[in-house]
Amino acid sequence: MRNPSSICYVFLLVASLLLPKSNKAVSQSSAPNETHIRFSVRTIEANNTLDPADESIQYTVQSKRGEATKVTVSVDRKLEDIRDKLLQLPFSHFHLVSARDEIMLIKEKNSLELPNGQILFFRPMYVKGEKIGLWLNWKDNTGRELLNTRLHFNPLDSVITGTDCGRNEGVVLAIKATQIY
Amino acid sequence: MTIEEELSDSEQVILSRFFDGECGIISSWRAKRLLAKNTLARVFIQNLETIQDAINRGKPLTPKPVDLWDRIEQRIEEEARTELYLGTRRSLEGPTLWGSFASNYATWLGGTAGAAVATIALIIFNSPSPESSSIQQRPSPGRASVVQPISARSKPYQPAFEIPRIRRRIPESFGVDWMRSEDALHLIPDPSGSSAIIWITRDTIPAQKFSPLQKHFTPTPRIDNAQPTRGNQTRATLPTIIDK
Repeated sequence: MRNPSSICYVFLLVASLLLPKSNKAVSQSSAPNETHIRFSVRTIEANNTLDPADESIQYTVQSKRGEATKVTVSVDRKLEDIRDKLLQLPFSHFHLVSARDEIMLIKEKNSLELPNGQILFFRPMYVKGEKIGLWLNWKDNTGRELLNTRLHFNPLDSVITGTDCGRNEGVVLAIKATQIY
Repeated sequence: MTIEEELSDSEQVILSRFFDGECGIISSWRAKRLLAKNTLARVFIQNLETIQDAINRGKPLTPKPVDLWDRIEQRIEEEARTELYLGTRRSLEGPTLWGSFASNYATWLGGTAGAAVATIALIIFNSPSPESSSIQQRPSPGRASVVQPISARSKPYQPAFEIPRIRRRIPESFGVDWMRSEDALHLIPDPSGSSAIIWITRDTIPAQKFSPLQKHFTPTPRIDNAQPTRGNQTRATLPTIIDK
């Protein structure tokens, strides 16, 4: 602290910390408490079996390798909005197992138990315009961390994540978070 | 005993400088005094003149053209020698105007000015903006209040020119700060270009079935003989819709 400028810096730093918060600081401290998020998680069972009697819509898709790999994919009617995304996955059947909605405050941590016993921890970080920040932590039944991430995406869009859960079977999560006005 | 041994080093230096015209007032006075008193000094100067004459006679009128590659090689050797004695050459930031200014009395003044700027910036960033105002007025669910725009005439910022955008496989609207897993992670681009699919390929797949309350699917044989890929092999056989 020989340098007088250092003393000046420290003084101003302390002064800035002691200054009363301005309007924006007040609004930031109060706004998160008023910002509500609708957090939706759809758990989808995916496998390579196909039930002809199933009511879901069937799509005939073609591999880029040629006609020989022509397969029929069955997608649940309730998953129509994410159909194109699901068709990117190597499964021929997608069935909605459960759909859960949670209304929560921003920056509030919450958890959700999936139908297969796995747990999804999540925390919406912020909502700004056409972007939402979300922390996700997906753990399996043994506590093994499947996914731990912080994402930024469009609230109008669903984030699709999934993993294997058996031979030719998978569990897919369609996660959506929108602000409630 | 030679002339150089009779004359001291300082005397030789003074005489040499005097001969080259590099002496100041005092050195010139000392050199002239030495030449007046010491015979050896005069001989020393004569020898210098003789050497200079010899050099001038042997010097070509036009400089010999120097090969560029010789100069480069010479420069490389110089650099190698310099590196041997002084270490690797580094680009040093020379003393800037601000640095020299701040190193003296101006240090205190500069520190004060910087702190003042930081304080002003703090106040400016803390000042309420229309966006924060709109956040403040945003009603919580259940409240019977009406959200009104702060200013209907306010227009969003529009750049004067069109910024070209390069289409990427992972769109800008989708971002990841960090992502980790105890298994292998794969990002599959979304066909709509607005998001991405995060797929986790597990090393060991435990038997984790859905609860028995959920609908159970009876495995049925596939329609065709195609064997779809799993996990990270997805990208090789991404399907495209051809019929609905």
